[in-house]
Amino acid sequence: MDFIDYYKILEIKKDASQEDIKKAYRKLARKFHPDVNPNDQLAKQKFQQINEANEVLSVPENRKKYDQYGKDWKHADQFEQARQQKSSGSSRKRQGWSTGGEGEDFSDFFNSMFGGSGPSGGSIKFKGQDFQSELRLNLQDAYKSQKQTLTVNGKNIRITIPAGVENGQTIKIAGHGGPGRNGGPAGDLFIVFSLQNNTPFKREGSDLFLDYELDLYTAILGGELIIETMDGKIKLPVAPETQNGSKIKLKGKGFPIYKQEGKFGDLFVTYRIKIPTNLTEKEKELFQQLKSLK
Amino acid sequence: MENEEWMAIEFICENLRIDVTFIQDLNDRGLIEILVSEQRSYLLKTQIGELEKIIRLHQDLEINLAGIEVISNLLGQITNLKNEVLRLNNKIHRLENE
Repeated sequence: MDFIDYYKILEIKKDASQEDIKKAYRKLARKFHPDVNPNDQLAKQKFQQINEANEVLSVPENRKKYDQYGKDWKHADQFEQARQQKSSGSSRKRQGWSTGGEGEDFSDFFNSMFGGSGPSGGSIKFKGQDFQSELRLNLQDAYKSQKQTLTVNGKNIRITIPAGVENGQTIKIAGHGGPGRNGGPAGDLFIVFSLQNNTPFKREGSDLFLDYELDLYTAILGGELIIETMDGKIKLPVAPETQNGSKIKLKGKGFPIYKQEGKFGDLFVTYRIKIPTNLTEKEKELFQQLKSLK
Repeated sequence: MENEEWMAIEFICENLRIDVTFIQDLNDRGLIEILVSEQRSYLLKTQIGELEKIIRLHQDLEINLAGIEVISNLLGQITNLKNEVLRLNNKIHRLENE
């Protein structure tokens, strides 16, 4: 484990006063507090370090211990002394204010110095560690709200996945992260959705896009098509002289809009006109006749 | 009135050790939305997480309500921008695969 310079973390000098420490902590806590940096793991780690530094330096007795053994803490004898000093330790409450937020385990260094709990003898409540997990879904599965049971750390959690969830979207399941410390609340579980597209549709938000191969004769003469949407088959009229690349919009036939039950995006169908191949002599002759008419 | 969705304000205040006037201030600023029914006030249970966050900002970081209002608005904007980045990334992915 590495030596951690708590003074450096709090950006203060070694001879900083208690008031300086308090000010430095307040300034950095405001900057890196998890509530103002949601889903930012770097900020969270930084906040943990700041808290840890404050826990040590804001209590004069612990600060003295840290100042005395800090750089030489690897020496076993002195390390043991530090442990013994801790066991007879201070019952003094921590200065400053409650950490709240998303504090998690102390660093190895802190645990070695103070025996694995806060310097004030476990009076500080810490929220448990947040967990992050990836959940893979097929696009078809995200079309309807569904309930799924996940196993996290041996516990089964039943969650409802709302229809219309996006690829890369994160949802928070409060209280299903790691257990809190000293009676603090449990952390949260963050689930990131990874959607695999197993359909012929391309998706953009709640809109779907489909390339449809249209035969030449229907494109020229018009007719009717049966198109498969996410919601089943629909009949579609094709206008005569439909051009290659022309688009039609089928309102409300797209993907569900997230958390807006009963609302859907649109489906855009682009016609790709298929030129016939392997023509018979008779067909070629008829095309020649058509050509000569122009 | 108290049910699976709504929770009485008195109960919340007692458990979170906050004053009712604090909740009323938050409601006045539009940071949370309370419902009044038969002279009792209720909060949506889904808003309790947001309330706890506001309490942390207020108590831990000593930010006043005006500051919390600004932070909430900015965090909302960040969330919208993140969603926009996500949407555009998915659009790029779609166009790249065309």
